[in-house]
Amino acid sequence: MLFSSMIFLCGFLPVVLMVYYLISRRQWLANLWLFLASLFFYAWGEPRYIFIMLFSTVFDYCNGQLIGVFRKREKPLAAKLVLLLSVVGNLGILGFFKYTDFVIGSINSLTGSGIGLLELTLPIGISFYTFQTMSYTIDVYRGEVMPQRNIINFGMYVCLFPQLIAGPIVRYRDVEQQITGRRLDWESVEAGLMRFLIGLAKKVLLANQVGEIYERISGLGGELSTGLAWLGAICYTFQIYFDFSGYSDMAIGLGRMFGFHFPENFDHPYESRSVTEFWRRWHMTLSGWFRDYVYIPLGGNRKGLPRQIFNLLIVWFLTGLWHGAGWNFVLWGLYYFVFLVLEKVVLGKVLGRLPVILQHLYTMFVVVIGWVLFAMDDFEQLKRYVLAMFGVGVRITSDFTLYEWRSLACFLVLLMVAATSIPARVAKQVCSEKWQKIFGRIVTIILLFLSVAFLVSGSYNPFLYFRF
Amino acid sequence: MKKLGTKCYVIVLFAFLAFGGLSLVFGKPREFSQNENRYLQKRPEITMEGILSAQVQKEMESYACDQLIGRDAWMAVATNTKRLINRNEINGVYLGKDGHLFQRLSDNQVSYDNYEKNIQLLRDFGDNHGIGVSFLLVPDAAIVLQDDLPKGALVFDADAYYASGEVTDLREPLQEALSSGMDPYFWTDHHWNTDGAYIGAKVYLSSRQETVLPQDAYGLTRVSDDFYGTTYSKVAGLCGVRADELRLPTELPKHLTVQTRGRADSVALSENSGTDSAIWSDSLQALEKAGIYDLSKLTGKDQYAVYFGGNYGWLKISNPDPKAAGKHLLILKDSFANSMVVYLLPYYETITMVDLRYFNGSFAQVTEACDPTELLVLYELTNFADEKNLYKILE
Repeated sequence: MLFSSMIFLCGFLPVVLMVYYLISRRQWLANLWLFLASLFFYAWGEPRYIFIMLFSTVFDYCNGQLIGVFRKREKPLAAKLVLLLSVVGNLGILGFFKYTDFVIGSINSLTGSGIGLLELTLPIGISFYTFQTMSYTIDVYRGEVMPQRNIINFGMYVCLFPQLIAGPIVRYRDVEQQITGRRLDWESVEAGLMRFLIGLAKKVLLANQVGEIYERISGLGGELSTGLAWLGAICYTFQIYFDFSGYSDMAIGLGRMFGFHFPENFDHPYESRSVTEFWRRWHMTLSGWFRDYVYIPLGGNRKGLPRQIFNLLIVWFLTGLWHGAGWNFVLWGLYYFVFLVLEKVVLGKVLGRLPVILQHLYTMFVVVIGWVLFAMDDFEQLKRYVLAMFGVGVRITSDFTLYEWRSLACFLVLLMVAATSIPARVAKQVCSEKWQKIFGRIVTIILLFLSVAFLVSGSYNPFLYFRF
Repeated sequence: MKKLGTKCYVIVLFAFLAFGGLSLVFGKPREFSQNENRYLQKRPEITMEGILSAQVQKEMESYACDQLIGRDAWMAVATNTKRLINRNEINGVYLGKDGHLFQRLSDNQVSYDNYEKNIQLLRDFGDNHGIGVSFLLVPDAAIVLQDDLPKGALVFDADAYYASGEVTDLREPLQEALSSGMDPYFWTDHHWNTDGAYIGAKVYLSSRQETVLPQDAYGLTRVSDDFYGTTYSKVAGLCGVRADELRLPTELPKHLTVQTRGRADSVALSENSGTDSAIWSDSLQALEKAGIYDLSKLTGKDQYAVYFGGNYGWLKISNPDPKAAGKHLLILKDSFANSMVVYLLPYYETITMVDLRYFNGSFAQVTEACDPTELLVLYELTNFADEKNLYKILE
């Protein structure tokens, strides 16, 4: 099920909320309800693969318990073995479903063999929930959290529908206290609802619309020009931000409505002045996960520069690979690795001395081109498109190019403003707190109406996370 | 009182969503959307298989969108808001000058190879059966009225298609008519209007060395001034769109008879069933009785179907007038032919129209039965280029 659908908005959500609020005093019952509702949510879109998620849940529940027991009995080796089992098991499931065909395909291209592909569909959200359960067992091993005794509570944590499908990656330590200690009040529900509606609008009104434009431009044949190639890349840049951050907003908002505080995932990343800063503001829960479970265990930056660069290489290779089973994703990860190292070693100081506007332009230039690598998994198409962006093989501009830019000018400005913190800052300057609240309510109600209108009219509504 | 604002906000929104949900569960579903000219999702059948394959879920989601209360109003909101996104184009429809709507068609949607194949097939057919074949392929509105499109909009390049000279190039005659103040196309529908159809008829009849009657001689009568056609369906609810007029020739040969086979495709359910025939003139009523016009279509949305009631697999019009004796015309067509053929009626003893989308008989039998003096291929250009059913004429 998608958040951006009428079934969710008018069916699933009101029912789940209503029952939850009626039983919220009894924590165990509330958690059970959330767990069951989450299973239903997942099974709706993935009726066959739900057992994989359930298996993963039970598997790591047992692992967590075992590690806890071995730690208490001071048997570190046994605990380590169970941890290893958990990590291998989780990565194994993930690897099997997500990367088998990628590996087979790569072998075939390299050696010319003709091994048949498995052509498995990827269970939705597998990259998210396996990372969540792994973080649990690792944190139990490290003693950062206590193992969760109650399997329903644990199940609720793993399967919780707000962040199950597209994040943020919620580590167990982030919500350990909240599993049994949530408080619910009208303000949280209001705040959650507003956050949810903003996310919904970002997805339905902004991401979907600009995504449709990108689809059209990337499908152009002879009419492609440099101007249009850049327009398309910029559109994709907006699409992926509004889609992904919109989804995170919806997840965080929904969490709030049940009393959860989920970690933030995006902090206006397109306001960044360097690539380093960009990765501190984009998909923060993922970079946090890789930092805590890969980078730091490998030594981080505490073993000298060459080792640090190697550690970064591993992390960025994996980050790219996590985003999709394709070499273009790996390339995308390595592309950022190069810029991050450059900035660390030499560019960073240079950048700092440039005027702010140039810092922004440099960052967005790198980011936009990065998204083109990310978006196109066909190398021929990618090559042609990137060359077009640099004026090779196509006209620089044309009547049609100007037509598209002119048609979309207003919308592009709107997108730019919406991607920054300008609206929020202006509101704070101009209105008192009371009026900010009222304004917020009116705006979100309008956004809901518009979102429903767009959903009903059957507009383009892609699900970008089928690779995750 | 302290948290009144918060409570109101939450309750109002919750009630709105819940109301939407309840209306979907308990409301009566609509079967057909006039505005969009399509059938709406019915209540899905719940089966185990359907659930496991997620098909039931898909249908339920589509049901929720299609059957929400006030769908037409929601769509109008979305369509008009889309103007903020793109000033010049919504849902594949160009917003032309003065509210003129054009459907967007780009080069890579049409196959030139298929077009050539079709031409060749028909040429061979004509040669084998000793029938002269004429091609009258009508250019799309966007090709002829390029100046009304938003500046720089992509236009389908029809030069290659008309280059051979074998296909009558209507672009010039239509453009000439345009410069003399006429408007050959509908503004909200992809078809040519009765004036454009007359130009087509004039060009065809001149090429057959007939003396062409002036358009006035056909007694054009306006029968509708609220025609919102196919193009409008794609932007249903858009504000500032001027409705089209429908005018029909009423001075046609007397005692025409129409026979049909193969369903009419225009199954749109009219809002009012039946018409108050007394409001139409005698000649119109006579023509309706004969089967030339179906005036009940004028109360619905798909008013272009007033011509014969829509498209039939096989339709034959007989004209007993001795002046037309001995001339038999066979037309391979799409819906563009419907409005032109009425202008040809005085000239032929029989006109047989075959629409390959709905035709399932033996074309050889048809040719034998009508013994045509000429075969006219009358389509909109890109429709013909896309036509994949021409194999049927070989059966």
